[in-house]
Amino acid sequence: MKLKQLEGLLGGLTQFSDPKVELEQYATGPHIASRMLYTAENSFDDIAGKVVADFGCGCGTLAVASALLDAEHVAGIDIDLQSLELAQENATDLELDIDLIQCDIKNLNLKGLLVDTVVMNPPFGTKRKGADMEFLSMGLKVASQAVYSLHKTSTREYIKKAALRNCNAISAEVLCEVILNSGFWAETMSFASHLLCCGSTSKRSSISQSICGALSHKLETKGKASSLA
Amino acid sequence: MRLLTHNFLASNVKGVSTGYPLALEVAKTSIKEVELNVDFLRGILPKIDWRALFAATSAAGFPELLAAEQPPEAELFAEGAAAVEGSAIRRLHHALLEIHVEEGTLVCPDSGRSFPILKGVPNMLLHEDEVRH
Repeated sequence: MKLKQLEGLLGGLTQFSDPKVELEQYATGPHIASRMLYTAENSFDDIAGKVVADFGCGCGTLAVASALLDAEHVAGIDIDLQSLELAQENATDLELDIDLIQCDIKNLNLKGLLVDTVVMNPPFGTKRKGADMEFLSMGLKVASQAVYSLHKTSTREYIKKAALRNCNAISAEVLCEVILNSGFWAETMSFASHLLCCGSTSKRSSISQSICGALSHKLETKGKASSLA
Repeated sequence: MRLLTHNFLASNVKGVSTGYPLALEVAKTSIKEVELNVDFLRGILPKIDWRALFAATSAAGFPELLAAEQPPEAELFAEGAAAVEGSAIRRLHHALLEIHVEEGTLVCPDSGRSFPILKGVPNMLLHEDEVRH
């Protein structure tokens, strides 16, 4: 599937009509969501034919994007039942099958290493301090391949350090940076999970930098984002 | 909820050791066909808990679908088996990816705590006094 097509389909999803502030339910825009998943698939082979979990899936944008990019099995996990119903509706509208689980991410217990890739737009922790790190550490615990996550640029160094030091991440790379409508910067980070061998991690690092270049070129023409590479 | 999800889902009630595998009680299932992907099955087989999957397929109303013990890989991935109706690999595919539990209950093997499945969504939320701190 082409990037434009993916972005178009995600743009048609139903968003929260009444977001819950305490859960930091901001929607993941089709622009950044499509690029995040497209990069995960086309640069790193982390989506098609994989088991993908979307943490804090909300209305299901990243879960749906994973299914559109041919993930074999997608599980969307959220604490809020209304979000899950919306995610179900969005998936059904596109004739996609995704599994949904109602669970608080910090209490999640997934056995074994069945999940390959975790994708998420976690709470930034502005309402409840540390929520972003709870999501990230659980993601790195569960994913056998990689975690793709959106974070505020201002927390980049902290997140990188904490992921590497406390959560067994092998690498933490910034993939792209985008200005959200609300005016602050958010960015997609990719974390190689602890099971990735070092060889593929260094390869990952060089690839991700070149992707940053490619993405930035595409995004800059829209005046919306720039790369860090 | 597909049985693949059941195979990695565990309970996290305070005090339980593993909370796995969750016993499954099924009131309603649905079947949704998906294309068989041999490479996916080959990759995931070593990570599957066969006994939990076998118990889940039986609970879902398909006691004859899988063998109680995991068949040898040579049989599962025999040349051309994917094209044969009723072959072990097609049954594995059906069990993992095509059976959906729509209504039922998951029961924690350690604590006995039950988690309802409604409209296909298991509710794994814990009460405040069940959360580990």
